[in-house]
Amino acid sequence: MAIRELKVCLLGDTGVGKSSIVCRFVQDHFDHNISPTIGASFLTKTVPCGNELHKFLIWDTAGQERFHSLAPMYYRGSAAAVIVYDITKLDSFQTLKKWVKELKEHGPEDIVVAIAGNKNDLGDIREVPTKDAKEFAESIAAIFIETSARNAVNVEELFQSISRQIPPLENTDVDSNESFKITRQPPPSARRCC
Amino acid sequence: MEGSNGSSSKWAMERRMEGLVNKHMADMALETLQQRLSAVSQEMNHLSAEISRREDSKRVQDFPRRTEPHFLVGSFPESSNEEPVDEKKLMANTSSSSAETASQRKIISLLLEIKEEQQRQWAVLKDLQVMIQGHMCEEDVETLEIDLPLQTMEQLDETERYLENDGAQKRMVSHLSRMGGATVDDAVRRLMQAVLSFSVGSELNWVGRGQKRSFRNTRLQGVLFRALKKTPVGKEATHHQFADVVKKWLRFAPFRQGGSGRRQHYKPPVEFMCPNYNTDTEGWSCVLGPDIAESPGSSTQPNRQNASMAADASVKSCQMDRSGSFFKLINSFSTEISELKQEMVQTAREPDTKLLQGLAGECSSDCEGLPSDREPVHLLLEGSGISFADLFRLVAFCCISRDVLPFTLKLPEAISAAKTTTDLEEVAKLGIEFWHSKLCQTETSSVLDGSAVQQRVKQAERSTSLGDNSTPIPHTRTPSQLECSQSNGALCFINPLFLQTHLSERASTKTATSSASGENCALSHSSSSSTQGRSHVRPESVLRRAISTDYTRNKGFNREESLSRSPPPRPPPPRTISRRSAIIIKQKSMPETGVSWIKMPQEKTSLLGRLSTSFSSISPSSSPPKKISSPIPMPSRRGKRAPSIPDVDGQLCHLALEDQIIEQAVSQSLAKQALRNAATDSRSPAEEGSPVGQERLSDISISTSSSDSLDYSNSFTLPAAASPSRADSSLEEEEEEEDFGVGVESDQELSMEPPFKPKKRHNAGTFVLQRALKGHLRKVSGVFNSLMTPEKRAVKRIVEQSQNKGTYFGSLVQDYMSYMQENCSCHESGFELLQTVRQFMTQMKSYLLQSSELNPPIESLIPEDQIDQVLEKAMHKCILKPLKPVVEAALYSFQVRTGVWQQLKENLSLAKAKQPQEMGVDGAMPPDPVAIEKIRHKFHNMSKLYSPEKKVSLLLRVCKLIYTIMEDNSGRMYGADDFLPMLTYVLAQCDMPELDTEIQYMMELLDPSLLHGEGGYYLTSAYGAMSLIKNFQEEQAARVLSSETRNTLHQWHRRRTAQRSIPSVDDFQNYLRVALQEPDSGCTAKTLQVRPYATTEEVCQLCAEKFKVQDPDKHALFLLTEESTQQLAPDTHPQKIKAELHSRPQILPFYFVYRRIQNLNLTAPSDELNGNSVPV
Repeated sequence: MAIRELKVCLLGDTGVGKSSIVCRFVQDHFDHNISPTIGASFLTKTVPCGNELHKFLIWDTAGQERFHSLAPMYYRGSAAAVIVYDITKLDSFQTLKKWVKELKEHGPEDIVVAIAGNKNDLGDIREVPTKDAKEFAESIAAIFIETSARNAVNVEELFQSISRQIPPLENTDVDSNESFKITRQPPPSARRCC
Repeated sequence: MEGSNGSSSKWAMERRMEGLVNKHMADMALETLQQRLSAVSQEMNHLSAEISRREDSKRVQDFPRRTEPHFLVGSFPESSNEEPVDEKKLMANTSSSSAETASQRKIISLLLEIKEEQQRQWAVLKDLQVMIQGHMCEEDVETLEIDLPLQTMEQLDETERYLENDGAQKRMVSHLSRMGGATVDDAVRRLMQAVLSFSVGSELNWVGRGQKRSFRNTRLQGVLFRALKKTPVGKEATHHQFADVVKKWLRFAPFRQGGSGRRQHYKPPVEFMCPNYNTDTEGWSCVLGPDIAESPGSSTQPNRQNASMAADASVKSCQMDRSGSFFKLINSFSTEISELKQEMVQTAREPDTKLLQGLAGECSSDCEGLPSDREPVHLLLEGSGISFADLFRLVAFCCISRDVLPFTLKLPEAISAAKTTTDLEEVAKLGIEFWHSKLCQTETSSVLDGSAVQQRVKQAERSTSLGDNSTPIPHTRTPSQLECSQSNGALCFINPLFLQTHLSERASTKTATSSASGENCALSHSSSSSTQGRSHVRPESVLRRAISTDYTRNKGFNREESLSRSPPPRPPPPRTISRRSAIIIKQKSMPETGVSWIKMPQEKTSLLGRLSTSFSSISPSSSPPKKISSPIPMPSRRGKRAPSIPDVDGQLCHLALEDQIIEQAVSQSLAKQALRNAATDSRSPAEEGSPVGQERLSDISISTSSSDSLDYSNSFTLPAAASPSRADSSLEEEEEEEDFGVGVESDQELSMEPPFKPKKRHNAGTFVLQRALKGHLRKVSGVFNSLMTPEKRAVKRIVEQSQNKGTYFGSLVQDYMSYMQENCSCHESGFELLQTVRQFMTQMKSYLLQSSELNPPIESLIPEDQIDQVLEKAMHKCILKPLKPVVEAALYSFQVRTGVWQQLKENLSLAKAKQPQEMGVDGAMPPDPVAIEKIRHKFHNMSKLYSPEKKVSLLLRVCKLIYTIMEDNSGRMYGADDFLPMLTYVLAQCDMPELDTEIQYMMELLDPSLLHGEGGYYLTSAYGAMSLIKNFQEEQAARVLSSETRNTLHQWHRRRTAQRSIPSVDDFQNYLRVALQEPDSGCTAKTLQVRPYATTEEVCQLCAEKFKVQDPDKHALFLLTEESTQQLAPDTHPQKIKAELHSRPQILPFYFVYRRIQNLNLTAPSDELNGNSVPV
């Protein structure tokens, strides 16, 4: 089975739970002590999808405003971007809109955008109605899902739907790696890991 | 072997013919034309005679007018000529009768036709002349105001000044373009010889390193190249090709001066044209004499007189009586020899001289025109740039080199095959008659037919039988004798091929060609009965000199090894030697038989040889000790053996080969020193036992091919049995890197000191020991090498190949290397520099993947999915490793120049003073000063590495450390929200401004496929953190990144996108950043894809589309600089303007702005325009 490396970029305000979602996805629970990578900012996980294996290389970004300008470095070359907002913080949803705009303008052309409303478990203090978020996602043809990293709700589903949205290998040029497939195949394991 | 021999000589013949044709093409064509002309005039005469005859007969016989069919054959329009002819005729002969007038008219019209025809032919002739001689046929050589060749540096300066004038350059080019040459290399050498004397040449090198001046920067160089392009052979030549030859020429110019390297005894510049190649004489025909002497400069002017003069001379030479000067030659020979002998041997012995006299006599029996005076002269073969202090050296050189002669000289077989003194005496008795004698003719016949082996056997048998009853000549030895008998060593020339043929027949009794004082030239001579005019000898007879006698002696095993290698078939002489004199040498077919004679008794090997043998026997590679001394056919893998030596199997190498042979010849003088040392050494017991009469025994180191004999380190090959094929090549790497690795990369090394480093010979004693030890160490390492992983082996092989200029890959890499080393600072920015390096590496990788130059193919060593990594690694090693210091220096100087360095330092110290919280760290514990120090140390180590991958792995360790510190104190996992601020803080605390270039280096040079991985992530983070620090002040103030950082980010982005397909420079230039300026909403910038030749009009359309401008008609593209705003005309090319602006020495900020035409009162603050920053 062919392994495709997919760079996935995590965007969103600080404190919305970007890292938590990824940690949940990769390690299936919080605060796992053994990490295949050196830190939680960069995590990988391989999931089967059709007759391919998708290896997600998940790039976390710093959500603080001051690091905003660095974001292009992170999202370039990404096959997908997960923009996370906190359903309990309206501001984070506004930030999300900015991210979407920026991605449309400067991001990779065929980037798959997924909108994740995190902290679904805190529905009682919700500030962003699901309906609004869903409508917005539809307007930009993005994946929309509400997740709870804490309760491991919809985390797998989020990445599965991303996987499904990734065009199959034959007609893709989303990932720059893919065009080299014929001559070389990057090893599946990150061999530069200490 | 026989077959290839035959074909090689045939090939050589063809090449020579071709060369001759080339050389005299102009002359011949001219001649042909003249012949045609004279034919025409003859016909004219004939016709006029005919006419008068007919007129006469008409008058006498009163024949009516008749038409001569012969005259009417031509299709010339008679009628058109009829009228004027008529008139003329009528005027001339008004009184003639009508019939007469008609016939006369006819005749005259015919005459006119003939005249016309003649004129047309004249025109054609003129055209042809122009074509042949270039457009400058009317310009004379005399118009050149410069005396060539240049003798002093002052003259060179003058010439440079003179060449400032365009006209002068043209004249020079046209003058030089007539130098001729059979090949490009030949032509370049001729040019160089025509222009520069060797003394000037030795003051120059290509780039001007060391104390020397750069030749590349001279106008003369350009002129030479242009001249080359004008020659028939040089039309297609590249500048690179030209430069290569020039470099070599310059490198060896010092040695060509007197055949003795940098030693500069002054010798009167009397140069003799020495043996002139002759076609039909019996044997040698040397034409010596000042009357036909040619300086290198003048010899390169192929004018007819010259050529014919030379031809005349050679023709004369074979008719002249030679006896007179013959003895003079011998005289000078013996003087030279005794001088040499005294130089080389401490205790001179009379018999040596005698013997050599005899030998020399034989060799030179047909020479004539010897300089009668014995004052030092320069001797050089016609057409050669290598002059020699004495004839002996010349002959010795000719024995090893084919620089001038198409083949090396060899001893006449009768002499070399002689086994006893009586044999030699017999030969000696014959004197000059020798060449006609049976002795000589026997071998001659063996030359010409293909079945030389039998002939040789017969010959050998005969010569053996001759000597059956006499005592063996003490001074000729079998190689094995020479091998084991260590005397106070003298220089000895051995033709290995020669040895081989004999010894293959009778191992122990065959004689080596070493004789007398060890000054043994292997000379072959033929009383050539060749009817072709030239006879050819295979170039195999290459003579191996023992350069460092004691060295080789103590390394018996090495010698064995080199002996045991059978000479690989050599390609035919790849170069045409046209119009160069050569010595007739009969062709000997050397059967490439095994080298059984090497089977010598074990105990005869030297101590170290034995040591090594036992050494190898304990090596795990299962080679029994015996194997060492038994012939081991080694695969010829010379392409890999020495990076400095191009693959000799291909003809492409011939140039280098030549030069290396020169090196060898040069080192002859150096070897003397070694010999002196050797002379003081005691003899080995084995040798004492032999009947020593008069000779000193020689140490030899024999190699069977010229390429191997080029430098002595190459004769040290590991026993093939001890290390499988690739191991020994890798073993040599260390040695070669040390000795030659540098030399390959830059020619200045070689030009600054003789290729054979004399210092190594100064102290032969210690030197030997070190060498010996080294040999052992190498063996040990060989054992390890054989255990190397395939990956390492593949990397090693690629690296080796990259240093071998003989391969395409090697020459690409080496050229790039030298280009980068010289032009590093020519790049616009550090990014651009690194990008070109990265691009080159990527290209080389794909070249290696696609080409079949790697042997064995990398696929056979490495699993397919790892090939890329291995190639990447190899690229790092062969490109980045040598380039790293250069690149780093360049990056640093870029930073200093642009002020980034200063800014970075300031901001770093500013940021360092900040608390973690001010850097955005929230919650996690920052590392303490101890940890910071640890990190600093890691970073410091990182900067020492050249491989970006290894650097990145160290960076990862730093990040890991930071994580550990963060997590240890909180027990939770941190994402980028926490990590990036922490990293920024740590970087600020480290206060290492050099990290910026380090990160740049990694980012740009890391294999793009790794950039998506963890390394790429943390590298990106580090880069981001560093940019934040770099713009700390600004960031503090505006909380936005400076435009500069944004630009670099975008540039980086471009690189990533460019990596998708094959990267090319164009990709980086296909973008144009255009800002839309609206009065109400400020600036919005977009990066547009704009082709290099897109016009402003097209760009405007694109802008209108991208910016969704409602009224594109009212908008236009403007170029904004600090001082001015200018609207671009619709037909200009924005990309070109951009390129032009970029190429200015000082790049001022400039922007392309798309805005309303009416809005002329643009008062945007520069900040806003700066970098087209998008307001966030």
